[in-house]
Amino acid sequence: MSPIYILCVEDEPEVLAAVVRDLAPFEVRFPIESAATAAEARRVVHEVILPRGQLGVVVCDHLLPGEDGVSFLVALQRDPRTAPARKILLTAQAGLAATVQALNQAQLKHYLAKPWDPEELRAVVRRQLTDFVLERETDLFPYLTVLEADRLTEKIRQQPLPADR
Amino acid sequence: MSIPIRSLERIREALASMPETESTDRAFAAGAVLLHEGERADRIGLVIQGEIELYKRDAEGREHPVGSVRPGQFLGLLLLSSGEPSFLTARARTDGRLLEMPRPTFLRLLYNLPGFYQMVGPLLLGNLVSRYRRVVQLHLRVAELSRALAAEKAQLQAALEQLEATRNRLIQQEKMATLGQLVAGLAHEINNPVASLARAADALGPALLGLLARPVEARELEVLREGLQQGLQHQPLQTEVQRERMDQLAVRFPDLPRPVLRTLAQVEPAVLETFAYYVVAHPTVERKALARRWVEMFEIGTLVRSLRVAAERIGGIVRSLKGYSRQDQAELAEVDLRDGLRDTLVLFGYLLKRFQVVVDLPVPLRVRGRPGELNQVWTNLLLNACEAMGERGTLTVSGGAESDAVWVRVQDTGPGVPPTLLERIFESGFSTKKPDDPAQGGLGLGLAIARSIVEQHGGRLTVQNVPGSGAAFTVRLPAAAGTTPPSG
Repeated sequence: MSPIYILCVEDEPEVLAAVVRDLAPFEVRFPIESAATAAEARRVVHEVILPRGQLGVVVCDHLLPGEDGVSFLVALQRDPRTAPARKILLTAQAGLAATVQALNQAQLKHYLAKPWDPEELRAVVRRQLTDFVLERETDLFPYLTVLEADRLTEKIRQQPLPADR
Repeated sequence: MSIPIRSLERIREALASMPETESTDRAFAAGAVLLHEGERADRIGLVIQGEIELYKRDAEGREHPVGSVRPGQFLGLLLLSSGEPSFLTARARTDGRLLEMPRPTFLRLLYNLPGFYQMVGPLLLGNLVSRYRRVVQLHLRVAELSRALAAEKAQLQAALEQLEATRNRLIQQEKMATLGQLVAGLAHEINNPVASLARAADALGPALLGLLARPVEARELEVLREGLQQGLQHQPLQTEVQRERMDQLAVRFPDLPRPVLRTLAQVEPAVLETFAYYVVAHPTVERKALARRWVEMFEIGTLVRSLRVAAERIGGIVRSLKGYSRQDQAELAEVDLRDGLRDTLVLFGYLLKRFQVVVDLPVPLRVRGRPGELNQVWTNLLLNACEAMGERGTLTVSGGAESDAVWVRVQDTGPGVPPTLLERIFESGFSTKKPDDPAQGGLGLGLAIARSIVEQHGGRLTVQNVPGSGAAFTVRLPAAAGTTPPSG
């Protein structure tokens, strides 16, 4: 079973540390990688995550030094290997235009304003990871304790029993 | 008042037949000047045929038509008794004839020759009455014109005031647009430290509670203090370095969960080695538990450090804001332009994030000026540079001092300014922005306002294209008295 990664992109070290800390409960199943810029994030995706597993969720800051978060998410959406990943934009400030672009072109799944509520952040990531796992994985048991258990069990119930195969 | 031609002809014949009138019949052609203003005229003429226009010169020498003399009317009437130089110029409008008499003869006959007055008197009176009427009409006309002029003046004044109000409103709108961008920037700049502050504070409580849930033995305290100390001192690693260390640690401690590996990656390698040796050499339950607590203490230390860093950030932003917003400071003060430049760069940092920013301000830039207004100049130049560059580029802010002037240059790597527009970009309302994009906020007054502020400070704002490298806006301001230029 190849690991499903969570990628956090944020240029402020303290903020990045807080995001990673808030998402630590998922790390028993979903390793977290982090990057400070879009360029580094791209390297992490291609050199660390894709060789070892798949990208499940990206939590990305909007304003990054150099290339901004929306543009990075749009690029991920265009690459078939990273298109299935769920994209969450974390922003301290965003014009409506940037959000609309992210929604339309990057298949943005959620938009969170800073300062965020950690429970909300975890709920959003849990839902997106659950969606991702439901779509892509057949063996759902390992995720029951971390993700939305009722949705996973519902799916498991609908799956044919091993005996039926 | 006109005289029937028939009776006029009779009068002419009668006068011509009287030798004592010394009258002469004189024909004139259209355009002929019959009287010159300012010259003496010794003859008085009765117009028999044709029309003569009268002109008066104003103080600047321009001629104005003031009336006309028709058949039955006299030319030179005003000079009749006084003999003063002519008050008017008379120019024939048409061909015609007049009967001329020497002025003294005319006067003498008027009083002494029986029948002369009966003939000429009604003409004279009629002539005077018609001129008087014309004067009265002119008075009325003048009064009318004065009233119209006053109304027009009032209208003009109102229009001027309205124009001024509109201009002030536009400048105000531009300032509000800038203020909007400033507020958005502030929200962004403050939100980041607020987020890390809030999240660190949230994490700190449970971490302390967890730590104190188990009894601490006295001999462990020194170790825990060390952990806290390390956490407090810790500098965040670059994500790349952290990833590398995490990978190494994962190989070395395959049983440790990733969050713990992440924390361990933050610990100074030398400290980590000492500690790892202590645990790994004798991996007892107590030692492992103590190691866990050490890591928890280290985390608590990093959280406290985050709080301090965030508070410092917010404090710095508030200081910049205070420095920046000295808008109400109308008094001239001696300032170092670098302060305002730095404040402006901090407050608009969110806009500059996507660009490389090079700041080269090695020497004090002391001028006498109004800091708030000058900050408006830096703001407008920065916003302009950001707009010119779009998504990527390098912003260079440089400055220097000369013997009697200081300069600041804001240079972008945008497309530059088309040579034909180099001066026009300082005009009010000139903008290369798309007018249908309200997100861009401004009205195209930014550079005009900047230039007017610089000029009010006795300086100059100019723009040059830098070959292959965008536009450079240079502000030159008179140096504050007593400023010494940098040596070397």
